[in-house]
Amino acid sequence: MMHRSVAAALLFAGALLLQSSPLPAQTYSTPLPTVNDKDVALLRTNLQAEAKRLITKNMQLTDSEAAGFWPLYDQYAAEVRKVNDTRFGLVKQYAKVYKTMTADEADSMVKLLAEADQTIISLRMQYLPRFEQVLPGTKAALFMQLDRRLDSLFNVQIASQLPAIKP
Amino acid sequence: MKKNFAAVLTLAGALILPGVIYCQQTPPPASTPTVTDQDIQLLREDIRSQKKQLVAANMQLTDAEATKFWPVYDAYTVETTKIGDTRTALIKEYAQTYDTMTDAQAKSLVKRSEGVDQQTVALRAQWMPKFEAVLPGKKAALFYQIDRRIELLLNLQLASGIPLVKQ
Repeated sequence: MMHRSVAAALLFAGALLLQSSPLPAQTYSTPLPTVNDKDVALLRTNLQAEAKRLITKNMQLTDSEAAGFWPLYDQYAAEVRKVNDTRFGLVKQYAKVYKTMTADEADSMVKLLAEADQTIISLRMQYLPRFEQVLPGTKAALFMQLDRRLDSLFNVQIASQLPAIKP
Repeated sequence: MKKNFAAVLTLAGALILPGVIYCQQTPPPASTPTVTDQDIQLLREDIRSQKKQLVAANMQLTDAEATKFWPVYDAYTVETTKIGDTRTALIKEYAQTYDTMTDAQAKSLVKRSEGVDQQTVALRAQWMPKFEAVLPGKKAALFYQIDRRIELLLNLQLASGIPLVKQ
């Protein structure tokens, strides 16, 4: 079963690579109307609420599991938000310096992005045993799976819409 | 750019729901054709080849840059392929234990899966100076950006083709 599933996923991934460049905004040049920080904050709040709703729906926690899980989740989500603040800050900085970016600026942003990616993974590893204390092992694994999937989706969407660095 | 960014967030929010629910509500078929390890190997080779083509198309290297870049890229790919081998083995293990997964197996799989993500991010950061040694700074940053983007896309596609942990 799963072999076929893996193969199908790989095939689909391959087809995507062929059919859609991961750099659709390579030719981006027109300045866009501005959206203020308040709009972005509101959108982020909506996304956080949506993530929580999805986790609720998919996890199907018992009352006693929920009592242990949600306070820990809120604590974890607050830590993740700090990392995402860095990511959003980087996107803003990227937009600001895009047309005049120096090699040093590009290098610095790449390093900060790598650190943010690393921090998210470290946070997940650090919190995993804590989620395992309040949930059965397979449910804790399901939460990690959902959380990783949501984070990946979010990152893909942002990355695929940003213009590539102009060498 | 800010408006672009806001549109990305909205799109990300719209995509999250169907993606996650799809996985939860799509049980694997009872009987499906077998896909061999050799088939998976071929698909992985095909994806590596397509990735290389995409990198070549987007980097626009001069002849002098290409002469130095591709040997480093090939060496880097050998390392990423090793991590890919571990990821593939984990997915196979997940498939083998899917229907009867214990809490202990789920814990172990999640922990090792996070380890694979951590290795991927660490490897990219570790190789950045090697790419910077053979490319101008902004082009090295562009490579980082392309490599991360393709990896994100592939991982998301893989994840979306794999069913969530059963409860």
